[in-house]
Amino acid sequence: MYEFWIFITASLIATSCALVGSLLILRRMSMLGDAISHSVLLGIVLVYLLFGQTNILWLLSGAVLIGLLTAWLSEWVHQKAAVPSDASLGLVFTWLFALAIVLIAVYADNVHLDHDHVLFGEMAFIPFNNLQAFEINWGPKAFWLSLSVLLINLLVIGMAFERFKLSSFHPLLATTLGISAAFWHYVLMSLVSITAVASFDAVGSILVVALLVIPASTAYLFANSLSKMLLYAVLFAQTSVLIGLGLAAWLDSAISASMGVAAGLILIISLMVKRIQQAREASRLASQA
Amino acid sequence: MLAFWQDANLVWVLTGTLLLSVSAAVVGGFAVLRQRALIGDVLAHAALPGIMVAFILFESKAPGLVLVSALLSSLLAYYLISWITRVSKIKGDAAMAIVLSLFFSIGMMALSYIQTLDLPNKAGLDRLLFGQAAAITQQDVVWLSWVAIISLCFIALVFHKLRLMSFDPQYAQTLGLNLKAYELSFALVLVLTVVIGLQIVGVVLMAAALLIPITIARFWSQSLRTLLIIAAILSVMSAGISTQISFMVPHMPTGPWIVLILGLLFGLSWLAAPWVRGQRHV
Repeated sequence: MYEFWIFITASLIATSCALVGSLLILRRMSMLGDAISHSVLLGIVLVYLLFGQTNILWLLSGAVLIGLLTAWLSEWVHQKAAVPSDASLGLVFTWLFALAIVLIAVYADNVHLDHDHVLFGEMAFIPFNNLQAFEINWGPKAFWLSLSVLLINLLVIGMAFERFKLSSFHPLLATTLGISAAFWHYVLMSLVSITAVASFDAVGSILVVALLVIPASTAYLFANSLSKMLLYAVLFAQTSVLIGLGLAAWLDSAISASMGVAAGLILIISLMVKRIQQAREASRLASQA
Repeated sequence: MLAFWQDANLVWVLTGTLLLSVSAAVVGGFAVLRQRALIGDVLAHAALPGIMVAFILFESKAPGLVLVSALLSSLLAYYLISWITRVSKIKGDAAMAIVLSLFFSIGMMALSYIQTLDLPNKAGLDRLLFGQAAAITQQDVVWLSWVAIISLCFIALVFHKLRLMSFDPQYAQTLGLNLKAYELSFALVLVLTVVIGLQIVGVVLMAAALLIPITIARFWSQSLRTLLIIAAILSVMSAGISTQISFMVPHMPTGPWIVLILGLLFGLSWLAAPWVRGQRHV
Protein backbone atom coordinates (compact mmCIF):
# COMPACT_ATOMS: atom_id res chain seq x y z
CA MET A 1 0.00 0.00 0.00
CA TYR A 2 2.89 2.33 0.83
CA GLU A 3 4.24 2.59 -2.73
CA PHE A 4 0.73 2.56 -4.11
CA TRP A 5 -0.25 5.78 -2.31
CA ILE A 6 2.91 7.55 -3.43
CA PHE A 7 2.38 6.43 -7.01
CA ILE A 8 -1.30 7.35 -7.17
CA THR A 9 -0.79 10.77 -5.55
CA ALA A 10 2.18 11.60 -7.79
CA SER A 11 0.24 10.52 -10.83
CA LEU A 12 -2.78 12.69 -9.95
CA ILE A 13 -0.52 15.70 -9.39
CA ALA A 14 1.36 14.99 -12.61
CA THR A 15 -1.91 14.92 -14.56
CA SER A 16 -3.07 18.25 -13.12
CA CYS A 17 0.30 19.86 -13.77
CA ALA A 18 0.53 18.54 -17.34
CA LEU A 19 -2.92 19.94 -18.21
CA VAL A 20 -2.39 23.38 -16.70
CA GLY A 21 1.26 23.49 -17.81
CA SER A 22 0.32 22.96 -21.47
CA LEU A 23 -1.89 26.04 -21.41
CA LEU A 24 0.82 27.91 -19.53
CA ILE A 25 3.62 27.31 -22.04
CA LEU A 26 1.35 28.27 -24.94
CA ARG A 27 0.94 31.67 -23.27
CA ARG A 28 4.69 32.00 -22.65
CA MET A 29 4.18 32.09 -18.90
CA SER A 30 6.30 29.06 -18.01
CA MET A 31 8.17 30.74 -15.16
CA LEU A 32 4.94 31.38 -13.26
CA GLY A 33 5.20 28.07 -11.40
CA ASP A 34 8.67 28.95 -10.17
CA ALA A 35 7.54 32.45 -9.20
CA ILE A 36 4.57 31.17 -7.21
CA SER A 37 6.72 28.56 -5.50
CA HIS A 38 8.76 31.39 -3.98
CA SER A 39 6.10 33.97 -3.24
CA VAL A 40 3.82 31.54 -1.34
CA LEU A 41 6.25 31.88 1.55
CA LEU A 42 4.66 35.28 2.23
CA GLY A 43 1.20 33.72 2.39
CA ILE A 44 2.37 31.15 4.90
CA VAL A 45 4.18 33.74 7.03
CA LEU A 46 1.16 36.09 7.00
CA VAL A 47 -1.29 33.37 7.99
CA TYR A 48 1.01 32.41 10.81
CA LEU A 49 1.56 35.96 12.05
CA LEU A 50 -2.03 37.22 11.64
CA PHE A 51 -3.98 34.17 12.77
CA GLY A 52 -1.40 32.13 14.63
CA GLN A 53 -2.36 29.06 12.63
CA THR A 54 -0.08 26.23 11.57
CA ASN A 55 -2.92 23.99 10.39
CA ILE A 56 -2.23 22.85 6.84
CA LEU A 57 -5.58 24.03 5.48
CA TRP A 58 -5.00 27.54 6.80
CA LEU A 59 -1.49 27.65 5.39
CA LEU A 60 -2.71 26.35 2.03
CA SER A 61 -5.42 29.01 1.82
CA GLY A 62 -2.89 31.74 2.60
CA ALA A 63 -0.53 30.30 0.01
CA VAL A 64 -3.23 30.11 -2.68
CA LEU A 65 -4.23 33.73 -2.03
CA ILE A 66 -0.64 34.92 -2.41
CA GLY A 67 -0.24 32.71 -5.48
CA LEU A 68 -3.26 34.42 -7.04
CA LEU A 69 -1.90 37.80 -5.98
CA THR A 70 1.45 37.01 -7.68
CA ALA A 71 -0.24 36.06 -10.95
CA TRP A 72 -2.70 38.95 -10.91
CA LEU A 73 -0.23 41.61 -9.79
CA SER A 74 2.39 40.66 -12.38
CA GLU A 75 -0.24 40.72 -15.13
CA TRP A 76 -1.47 44.11 -13.89
CA VAL A 77 2.03 45.62 -13.77
CA HIS A 78 2.74 44.15 -17.22
CA GLN A 79 -0.33 45.80 -18.72
CA LYS A 80 -0.45 49.10 -16.85
CA ALA A 81 3.25 49.92 -16.62
CA ALA A 82 4.24 48.52 -20.03
CA VAL A 83 6.91 46.31 -18.43
CA PRO A 84 7.72 43.05 -20.30
CA SER A 85 5.78 40.18 -18.74
CA ASP A 86 8.83 38.22 -17.57
CA ALA A 87 10.31 41.30 -15.90
CA SER A 88 7.05 42.14 -14.14
CA LEU A 89 6.76 38.55 -12.93
CA GLY A 90 10.31 38.64 -11.59
CA LEU A 91 9.70 41.98 -9.93
CA VAL A 92 6.53 40.84 -8.17
CA PHE A 93 7.64 37.45 -6.90
CA THR A 94 11.07 38.55 -5.64
CA TRP A 95 9.44 41.49 -3.84
CA LEU A 96 6.88 39.29 -2.11
CA PHE A 97 9.58 36.79 -1.20
CA ALA A 98 11.83 39.53 0.19
CA LEU A 99 8.90 40.89 2.22
CA ALA A 100 8.36 37.41 3.69
CA ILE A 101 12.01 37.11 4.69
CA VAL A 102 11.99 40.56 6.30
CA LEU A 103 8.80 39.67 8.23
CA ILE A 104 10.43 36.46 9.44
CA ALA A 105 13.45 38.49 10.57
CA VAL A 106 11.29 41.09 12.36
CA TYR A 107 9.23 38.49 14.20
CA ALA A 108 12.11 36.02 14.43
CA ASP A 109 11.21 35.10 18.01
CA ASN A 110 7.66 34.12 17.09
CA VAL A 111 8.16 32.32 13.81
CA HIS A 112 8.92 28.64 13.83
CA LEU A 113 8.11 27.84 10.25
CA ASP A 114 9.93 25.23 8.30
CA HIS A 115 10.56 26.84 4.95
CA ASP A 116 12.34 23.72 3.76
CA HIS A 117 9.24 21.68 4.24
CA VAL A 118 7.26 23.84 1.85
CA LEU A 119 9.88 24.07 -0.84
CA PHE A 120 11.34 20.59 -0.61
CA GLY A 121 8.26 18.48 0.16
CA GLU A 122 9.22 14.85 0.52
CA MET A 123 6.96 12.32 -1.11
CA ALA A 124 8.14 9.47 1.08
CA PHE A 125 6.06 10.97 3.91
CA ILE A 126 2.78 11.12 2.00
CA PRO A 127 1.37 7.81 3.32
CA PHE A 128 2.00 8.77 6.98
CA ASN A 129 -0.33 11.76 7.01
CA ASN A 130 -3.80 10.25 6.82
CA LEU A 131 -7.26 11.74 6.78
CA GLN A 132 -9.27 10.50 9.74
CA ALA A 133 -13.02 11.07 9.74
CA PHE A 134 -15.94 9.18 11.27
CA GLU A 135 -13.41 6.83 12.87
CA ILE A 136 -12.35 5.53 9.48
CA ASN A 137 -8.92 5.92 7.92
CA TRP A 138 -9.57 7.42 4.49
CA GLY A 139 -6.01 7.27 3.24
CA PRO A 140 -3.43 10.06 2.82
CA LYS A 141 -4.62 13.68 2.91
CA ALA A 142 -2.35 14.49 -0.02
CA PHE A 143 -4.25 11.97 -2.13
CA TRP A 144 -7.63 13.60 -1.47
CA LEU A 145 -6.21 17.07 -2.00
CA SER A 146 -4.63 16.22 -5.34
CA LEU A 147 -7.75 14.36 -6.43
CA SER A 148 -9.92 17.43 -5.75
CA VAL A 149 -7.48 19.70 -7.58
CA LEU A 150 -7.49 17.38 -10.59
CA LEU A 151 -11.30 17.34 -10.62
CA ILE A 152 -11.41 21.17 -10.50
CA ASN A 153 -8.89 21.36 -13.36
CA LEU A 154 -10.74 18.80 -15.48
CA LEU A 155 -14.03 20.54 -14.87
CA VAL A 156 -12.81 24.05 -15.75
CA ILE A 157 -10.65 23.04 -18.73
CA GLY A 158 -13.34 20.64 -19.98
CA MET A 159 -16.06 23.27 -19.82
CA ALA A 160 -14.02 26.10 -21.28
CA PHE A 161 -11.82 24.14 -23.69
CA GLU A 162 -12.81 26.10 -26.81
CA ARG A 163 -12.38 29.40 -25.03
CA PHE A 164 -8.93 28.49 -23.74
CA LYS A 165 -7.97 27.34 -27.21
CA LEU A 166 -9.13 30.49 -28.94
CA SER A 167 -7.72 32.89 -26.38
CA SER A 168 -4.36 31.04 -26.37
CA PHE A 169 -3.82 30.92 -30.12
CA HIS A 170 -5.76 33.89 -31.34
CA PRO A 171 -6.49 36.43 -28.60
CA LEU A 172 -7.60 39.09 -31.10
CA LEU A 173 -10.18 36.83 -32.75
CA ALA A 174 -11.35 35.77 -29.31
CA THR A 175 -11.91 39.39 -28.34
CA THR A 176 -13.79 40.07 -31.57
CA LEU A 177 -16.06 37.13 -30.87
CA GLY A 178 -16.84 38.59 -27.46
CA ILE A 179 -14.69 36.21 -25.42
CA SER A 180 -12.75 38.12 -22.83
CA ALA A 181 -9.13 36.99 -23.27
CA ALA A 182 -8.21 38.74 -20.02
CA PHE A 183 -10.90 36.89 -18.05
CA TRP A 184 -9.75 33.46 -19.26
CA HIS A 185 -6.18 34.45 -18.64
CA TYR A 186 -6.99 35.17 -15.00
CA VAL A 187 -8.95 31.91 -14.76
CA LEU A 188 -5.89 30.03 -15.96
CA MET A 189 -3.64 31.91 -13.54
CA SER A 190 -5.99 30.88 -10.72
CA LEU A 191 -5.87 27.23 -11.79
CA VAL A 192 -2.07 27.39 -11.83
CA SER A 193 -1.95 28.82 -8.30
CA ILE A 194 -4.31 26.25 -6.88
CA THR A 195 -2.53 23.38 -8.60
CA ALA A 196 0.94 24.58 -7.68
CA VAL A 197 0.18 25.28 -4.02
CA ALA A 198 -1.76 22.05 -3.48
CA SER A 199 1.14 20.12 -5.00
CA PHE A 200 4.00 21.86 -3.13
CA ASP A 201 2.96 20.28 0.10
CA ALA A 202 3.04 16.79 -1.34
CA VAL A 203 5.90 16.84 -3.81
CA GLY A 204 7.90 20.04 -3.24
CA SER A 205 8.23 23.06 -5.47
CA ILE A 206 10.96 21.77 -7.78
CA LEU A 207 8.90 18.87 -9.00
CA VAL A 208 5.88 21.13 -9.49
CA VAL A 209 7.89 23.43 -11.76
CA ALA A 210 9.33 20.40 -13.58
CA LEU A 211 5.93 18.74 -14.03
CA LEU A 212 4.29 21.97 -15.17
CA VAL A 213 6.70 22.69 -18.00
CA ILE A 214 8.70 19.61 -19.01
CA PRO A 215 5.99 17.09 -20.08
CA ALA A 216 4.00 19.90 -21.70
CA SER A 217 7.06 21.04 -23.66
CA THR A 218 7.77 17.48 -24.78
CA ALA A 219 4.16 17.21 -25.93
CA TYR A 220 4.51 20.57 -27.71
CA LEU A 221 7.25 19.04 -29.88
CA PHE A 222 4.97 16.31 -31.23
CA ALA A 223 1.39 17.57 -31.05
CA ASN A 224 -0.40 19.44 -33.81
CA SER A 225 -3.56 20.35 -31.93
CA LEU A 226 -4.38 21.49 -28.42
CA SER A 227 -6.31 18.34 -27.49
CA LYS A 228 -3.42 16.13 -28.67
CA MET A 229 -0.97 18.29 -26.77
CA LEU A 230 -2.96 17.87 -23.54
CA LEU A 231 -3.18 14.10 -24.11
CA TYR A 232 0.54 13.68 -24.87
CA ALA A 233 1.49 15.89 -21.93
CA VAL A 234 -0.49 13.67 -19.55
CA LEU A 235 1.10 10.55 -21.03
CA PHE A 236 4.64 11.97 -20.77
CA ALA A 237 3.91 13.06 -17.19
CA GLN A 238 2.76 9.55 -16.22
CA THR A 239 5.85 8.03 -17.84
CA SER A 240 8.06 10.45 -15.88
CA VAL A 241 6.34 9.44 -12.64
CA LEU A 242 6.93 5.73 -13.32
CA ILE A 243 10.55 6.13 -14.44
CA GLY A 244 11.16 8.50 -11.51
CA LEU A 245 9.89 5.93 -9.01
CA GLY A 246 12.18 3.36 -10.61
CA LEU A 247 15.19 5.70 -10.46
CA ALA A 248 14.48 6.56 -6.83
CA ALA A 249 14.24 2.90 -5.86
CA TRP A 250 17.39 2.05 -7.78
CA LEU A 251 19.61 4.90 -6.54
CA ASP A 252 17.90 5.39 -3.17
CA SER A 253 17.46 9.09 -4.01
CA ALA A 254 14.69 11.60 -3.33
CA ILE A 255 11.52 10.56 -5.17
CA SER A 256 10.36 13.97 -6.41
CA ALA A 257 13.82 14.99 -7.65
CA SER A 258 14.11 11.66 -9.50
CA MET A 259 10.77 12.29 -11.23
CA GLY A 260 11.99 15.73 -12.33
CA VAL A 261 15.17 14.18 -13.74
CA ALA A 262 13.12 11.48 -15.50
CA ALA A 263 10.91 14.12 -17.12
CA GLY A 264 14.04 15.97 -18.27
CA LEU A 265 15.54 12.79 -19.74
CA ILE A 266 12.36 12.13 -21.72
CA LEU A 267 12.46 15.67 -23.10
CA ILE A 268 16.12 15.44 -24.10
CA ILE A 269 15.56 12.06 -25.80
CA SER A 270 12.56 13.54 -27.64
CA LEU A 271 14.65 16.49 -28.78
CA MET A 272 17.27 14.09 -30.14
CA VAL A 273 14.62 11.99 -31.91
CA LYS A 274 13.20 15.15 -33.47
CA ARG A 275 16.66 16.22 -34.60
CA ILE A 276 17.35 12.86 -36.24
CA GLN A 277 13.94 12.95 -37.95
CA GLN A 278 14.65 16.43 -39.29
CA ALA A 279 18.10 15.42 -40.53
CA ARG A 280 16.61 12.39 -42.32
CA GLU A 281 13.92 14.51 -43.86
CA ALA A 282 16.49 17.04 -45.04
CA SER A 283 18.72 14.38 -46.61
CA ARG A 284 15.70 12.76 -48.28
CA LEU A 285 14.71 16.08 -49.79
CA ALA A 286 18.30 16.73 -50.83
CA SER A 287 18.57 13.37 -52.59
CA GLN A 288 15.28 14.01 -54.42
CA ALA A 289 16.51 17.35 -55.62
CA MET B 1 25.74 57.22 12.02
CA LEU B 2 29.40 57.75 12.78
CA ALA B 3 29.72 54.45 14.55
CA PHE B 4 28.57 52.84 11.34
CA TRP B 5 31.76 53.76 9.53
CA GLN B 6 33.95 52.69 12.41
CA ASP B 7 32.64 49.16 12.41
CA ALA B 8 35.14 47.41 10.16
CA ASN B 9 32.89 44.48 9.38
CA LEU B 10 30.05 46.72 8.26
CA VAL B 11 32.31 48.64 5.95
CA TRP B 12 33.15 45.33 4.31
CA VAL B 13 29.50 44.42 4.04
CA LEU B 14 28.73 47.81 2.53
CA THR B 15 31.59 47.66 0.01
CA GLY B 16 30.60 44.14 -0.95
CA THR B 17 26.92 44.85 -1.48
CA LEU B 18 27.64 48.09 -3.37
CA LEU B 19 30.06 46.39 -5.76
CA LEU B 20 27.72 43.47 -6.27
CA SER B 21 24.73 45.68 -6.95
CA VAL B 22 26.54 47.82 -9.52
CA SER B 23 27.78 44.87 -11.55
CA ALA B 24 24.46 43.04 -11.18
CA ALA B 25 22.54 46.09 -12.40
CA VAL B 26 24.74 46.60 -15.47
CA VAL B 27 25.18 42.96 -16.48
CA GLY B 28 21.55 42.21 -15.66
CA GLY B 29 20.51 45.23 -17.71
CA PHE B 30 21.79 43.56 -20.85
CA ALA B 31 20.17 40.25 -19.94
CA VAL B 32 16.78 41.92 -19.44
CA LEU B 33 17.01 43.89 -22.68
CA ARG B 34 17.70 40.60 -24.47
CA GLN B 35 14.36 39.20 -23.24
CA ARG B 36 15.97 37.04 -20.58
CA ALA B 37 14.72 38.83 -17.46
CA LEU B 38 14.56 35.71 -15.32
CA ILE B 39 17.92 34.31 -16.45
CA GLY B 40 19.46 35.21 -13.08
CA ASP B 41 16.94 33.03 -11.31
CA VAL B 42 17.64 30.12 -13.65
CA LEU B 43 21.43 30.38 -13.51
CA ALA B 44 21.42 30.68 -9.73
CA HIS B 45 19.33 27.51 -9.35
CA ALA B 46 21.45 25.76 -11.96
CA ALA B 47 24.57 26.14 -9.84
CA LEU B 48 23.29 23.47 -7.42
CA PRO B 49 24.09 20.27 -9.38
CA GLY B 50 27.63 21.50 -10.10
CA ILE B 51 28.32 22.05 -6.41
CA MET B 52 26.84 18.67 -5.49
CA VAL B 53 28.67 16.70 -8.17
CA ALA B 54 31.95 18.39 -7.23
CA PHE B 55 31.33 17.40 -3.61
CA ILE B 56 30.71 13.77 -4.59
CA LEU B 57 33.88 13.72 -6.70
CA PHE B 58 36.27 15.59 -4.39
CA GLU B 59 34.53 15.36 -1.01
CA SER B 60 35.31 18.99 -0.31
CA LYS B 61 33.48 22.29 -0.20
CA ALA B 62 36.46 24.61 -0.47
CA PRO B 63 35.34 28.06 -1.75
CA GLY B 64 37.42 27.81 -4.95
CA LEU B 65 36.00 24.40 -5.85
CA VAL B 66 32.43 25.51 -5.13
CA LEU B 67 32.93 28.59 -7.30
CA VAL B 68 34.40 26.73 -10.28
CA SER B 69 31.86 23.90 -10.17
CA ALA B 70 28.93 26.31 -9.81
CA LEU B 71 30.31 28.35 -12.69
CA LEU B 72 30.60 25.36 -15.02
CA SER B 73 27.15 24.12 -14.14
CA SER B 74 25.49 27.52 -14.69
CA LEU B 75 27.37 28.03 -17.93
CA LEU B 76 26.14 24.64 -19.15
CA ALA B 77 22.60 25.72 -18.23
CA TYR B 78 23.02 28.97 -20.20
CA TYR B 79 24.05 27.07 -23.30
CA LEU B 80 21.38 24.41 -22.84
CA ILE B 81 18.72 27.15 -22.93
CA SER B 82 20.16 28.49 -26.19
CA TRP B 83 20.42 24.97 -27.61
CA ILE B 84 16.81 24.06 -26.81
CA THR B 85 15.43 27.25 -28.33
CA ARG B 86 17.66 26.83 -31.40
CA VAL B 87 16.95 23.20 -32.28
CA SER B 88 13.24 23.08 -31.43
CA LYS B 89 10.16 25.23 -31.46
CA ILE B 90 10.16 25.45 -27.65
CA LYS B 91 10.14 29.13 -26.66
CA GLY B 92 12.64 30.93 -24.47
CA ASP B 93 10.49 31.09 -21.32
CA ALA B 94 9.71 27.36 -21.44
CA ALA B 95 13.37 26.55 -22.09
CA MET B 96 14.37 28.55 -19.01
CA ALA B 97 11.80 26.84 -16.80
CA ILE B 98 12.84 23.43 -18.17
CA VAL B 99 16.52 24.02 -17.50
CA LEU B 100 15.84 25.49 -14.05
CA SER B 101 13.72 22.59 -12.85
CA LEU B 102 15.86 19.92 -14.51
CA PHE B 103 19.13 21.22 -13.05
CA PHE B 104 17.60 21.75 -9.63
CA SER B 105 16.15 18.23 -9.70
CA ILE B 106 19.57 16.79 -10.58
CA GLY B 107 21.05 18.80 -7.72
CA MET B 108 18.45 17.59 -5.24
CA MET B 109 18.93 14.02 -6.42
CA ALA B 110 22.67 14.31 -5.86
CA LEU B 111 22.05 15.92 -2.46
CA SER B 112 19.83 13.05 -1.35
CA TYR B 113 22.54 10.65 -2.56
CA ILE B 114 25.19 12.56 -0.56
CA GLN B 115 23.04 12.34 2.53
CA THR B 116 23.20 8.54 2.38
CA LEU B 117 27.02 8.68 2.27
CA ASP B 118 29.04 8.60 5.45
CA LEU B 119 31.07 11.78 5.11
CA PRO B 120 32.03 14.14 7.93
CA ASN B 121 31.72 17.51 6.17
CA LYS B 122 28.47 17.06 4.29
CA ALA B 123 26.47 19.32 6.62
CA GLY B 124 25.67 22.80 5.33
CA LEU B 125 25.82 21.92 1.64
CA ASP B 126 22.16 22.78 1.14
CA ARG B 127 22.76 26.14 2.82
CA LEU B 128 25.23 27.30 0.17
CA LEU B 129 22.38 28.48 -2.02
CA PHE B 130 20.65 30.74 0.47
CA GLY B 131 23.36 33.33 0.98
CA GLN B 132 24.32 35.48 3.94
CA ALA B 133 25.17 39.12 3.39
CA ALA B 134 25.98 39.68 7.05
CA ALA B 135 28.71 37.08 6.85
CA ILE B 136 30.71 38.89 4.13
CA THR B 137 34.38 38.77 4.98
CA GLN B 138 37.33 40.72 3.73
CA GLN B 139 38.25 37.88 1.40
CA ASP B 140 34.76 37.86 -0.14
CA VAL B 141 35.05 41.57 -0.82
CA VAL B 142 38.34 41.05 -2.61
CA TRP B 143 36.63 38.42 -4.78
CA LEU B 144 33.66 40.65 -5.36
CA SER B 145 35.80 43.62 -6.31
CA TRP B 146 37.60 41.56 -8.93
CA VAL B 147 34.35 40.27 -10.38
CA ALA B 148 32.83 43.74 -10.40
CA ILE B 149 35.90 45.33 -12.00
CA ILE B 150 36.19 42.60 -14.63
CA SER B 151 32.50 42.73 -15.55
CA LEU B 152 32.32 46.51 -15.68
CA CYS B 153 35.54 46.79 -17.73
CA PHE B 154 34.26 44.10 -20.08
CA ILE B 155 30.95 45.88 -20.58
CA ALA B 156 32.67 49.24 -21.06
CA LEU B 157 35.16 47.83 -23.58
CA VAL B 158 32.72 45.97 -25.77
CA PHE B 159 29.70 48.21 -25.12
CA HIS B 160 29.04 48.99 -28.78
CA LYS B 161 29.41 45.40 -29.90
CA LEU B 162 27.18 44.10 -27.12
CA ARG B 163 24.58 46.69 -27.98
CA LEU B 164 24.64 45.75 -31.63
CA MET B 165 24.53 42.06 -30.81
CA SER B 166 21.59 42.51 -28.45
CA PHE B 167 19.42 44.65 -30.68
CA ASP B 168 20.36 43.60 -34.19
CA PRO B 169 22.22 40.28 -34.27
CA GLN B 170 21.83 39.88 -38.04
CA TYR B 171 23.48 43.21 -38.77
CA ALA B 172 26.23 42.33 -36.28
CA GLN B 173 26.86 39.13 -38.23
CA THR B 174 27.06 40.89 -41.58
CA LEU B 175 29.68 43.20 -40.09
CA GLY B 176 31.77 40.10 -39.45
CA LEU B 177 31.69 40.24 -35.66
CA ASN B 178 32.64 37.04 -33.91
CA LEU B 179 29.24 36.60 -32.27
CA LYS B 180 30.12 33.30 -30.60
CA ALA B 181 33.11 34.77 -28.79
CA TYR B 182 31.11 37.76 -27.55
CA GLU B 183 28.23 35.51 -26.55
CA LEU B 184 30.58 33.29 -24.56
CA SER B 185 32.29 36.20 -22.83
CA PHE B 186 28.95 37.80 -21.96
CA ALA B 187 27.70 34.46 -20.61
CA LEU B 188 30.87 34.14 -18.52
CA VAL B 189 30.49 37.60 -17.00
CA LEU B 190 26.79 37.01 -16.28
CA VAL B 191 27.38 33.60 -14.72
CA LEU B 192 30.32 34.90 -12.67
CA THR B 193 28.20 37.73 -11.24
CA VAL B 194 25.33 35.37 -10.44
CA VAL B 195 27.49 32.69 -8.84
CA ILE B 196 29.43 35.12 -6.64
CA GLY B 197 26.28 37.03 -5.76
CA LEU B 198 24.16 34.04 -4.88
CA GLN B 199 26.55 33.01 -2.14
CA ILE B 200 26.04 36.42 -0.58
CA VAL B 201 22.40 37.39 -1.17
CA GLY B 202 20.84 34.04 -2.13
CA VAL B 203 19.12 32.73 -5.24
CA VAL B 204 15.92 34.75 -5.37
CA LEU B 205 17.40 38.08 -4.39
CA MET B 206 20.15 37.64 -6.99
CA ALA B 207 17.47 37.41 -9.65
CA ALA B 208 15.93 40.63 -8.34
CA ALA B 209 19.24 42.52 -8.26
CA LEU B 210 19.73 41.70 -11.94
CA LEU B 211 16.33 42.66 -13.25
CA ILE B 212 14.66 45.34 -11.12
CA PRO B 213 17.12 48.28 -11.56
CA ILE B 214 16.94 48.22 -15.37
CA THR B 215 13.16 47.81 -15.24
CA ILE B 216 12.92 51.00 -13.17
CA ALA B 217 15.40 52.81 -15.42
CA ARG B 218 13.14 52.18 -18.42
CA PHE B 219 10.67 54.68 -17.00
CA TRP B 220 13.29 57.41 -17.28
CA SER B 221 15.29 56.91 -20.45
CA GLN B 222 15.38 55.36 -23.90
CA SER B 223 19.14 55.39 -24.45
CA LEU B 224 21.01 52.27 -23.44
CA ARG B 225 23.94 54.14 -21.91
CA THR B 226 21.70 56.30 -19.72
CA LEU B 227 19.59 53.28 -18.82
CA LEU B 228 22.58 51.38 -17.50
CA ILE B 229 23.87 54.40 -15.56
CA ILE B 230 20.47 55.02 -13.94
CA ALA B 231 20.20 51.31 -13.09
CA ALA B 232 23.61 51.36 -11.42
CA ILE B 233 22.74 54.49 -9.41
CA LEU B 234 19.40 53.06 -8.24
CA SER B 235 21.10 49.85 -7.31
CA VAL B 236 23.76 51.64 -5.27
CA MET B 237 21.08 53.72 -3.51
CA SER B 238 19.10 50.68 -2.45
CA ALA B 239 22.22 48.79 -1.37
CA GLY B 240 23.36 51.77 0.74
CA ILE B 241 19.98 52.29 2.41
CA SER B 242 19.50 48.60 3.15
CA THR B 243 22.97 48.25 4.66
CA GLN B 244 22.11 51.23 6.87
CA ILE B 245 18.83 49.56 7.91
CA SER B 246 20.49 46.27 8.70
CA PHE B 247 22.99 48.21 10.79
CA MET B 248 20.34 50.06 12.78
CA VAL B 249 17.99 47.12 13.36
CA PRO B 250 19.68 44.02 14.76
CA HIS B 251 19.30 40.66 12.96
CA MET B 252 17.98 42.38 9.85
CA PRO B 253 19.10 40.73 6.59
CA THR B 254 20.53 43.09 3.94
CA GLY B 255 19.56 41.24 0.76
CA PRO B 256 15.75 41.29 1.15
CA TRP B 257 15.80 44.99 2.05
CA ILE B 258 17.62 45.76 -1.21
CA VAL B 259 14.74 44.12 -3.07
CA LEU B 260 12.05 45.85 -0.98
CA ILE B 261 13.61 49.26 -1.59
CA LEU B 262 14.05 48.56 -5.30
CA GLY B 263 10.35 47.63 -5.39
CA LEU B 264 9.40 50.91 -3.72
CA LEU B 265 11.59 52.82 -6.18
CA PHE B 266 9.78 51.02 -8.98
CA GLY B 267 6.42 52.13 -7.59
CA LEU B 268 7.60 55.73 -7.16
CA SER B 269 9.08 55.89 -10.66
CA TRP B 270 5.92 54.41 -12.13
CA LEU B 271 3.86 57.15 -10.50
CA ALA B 272 6.31 59.99 -11.07
CA ALA B 273 7.70 59.30 -14.55
CA PRO B 274 4.64 60.25 -16.65
CA TRP B 275 4.17 63.38 -14.58
CA VAL B 276 7.81 64.52 -14.77
CA ARG B 277 8.08 63.69 -18.47
CA GLY B 278 4.76 65.40 -19.16
CA GLN B 279 6.01 68.58 -17.52
CA ARG B 280 9.14 68.50 -19.61
CA HIS B 281 7.27 68.19 -22.87
CA VAL B 282 5.02 71.13 -22.02
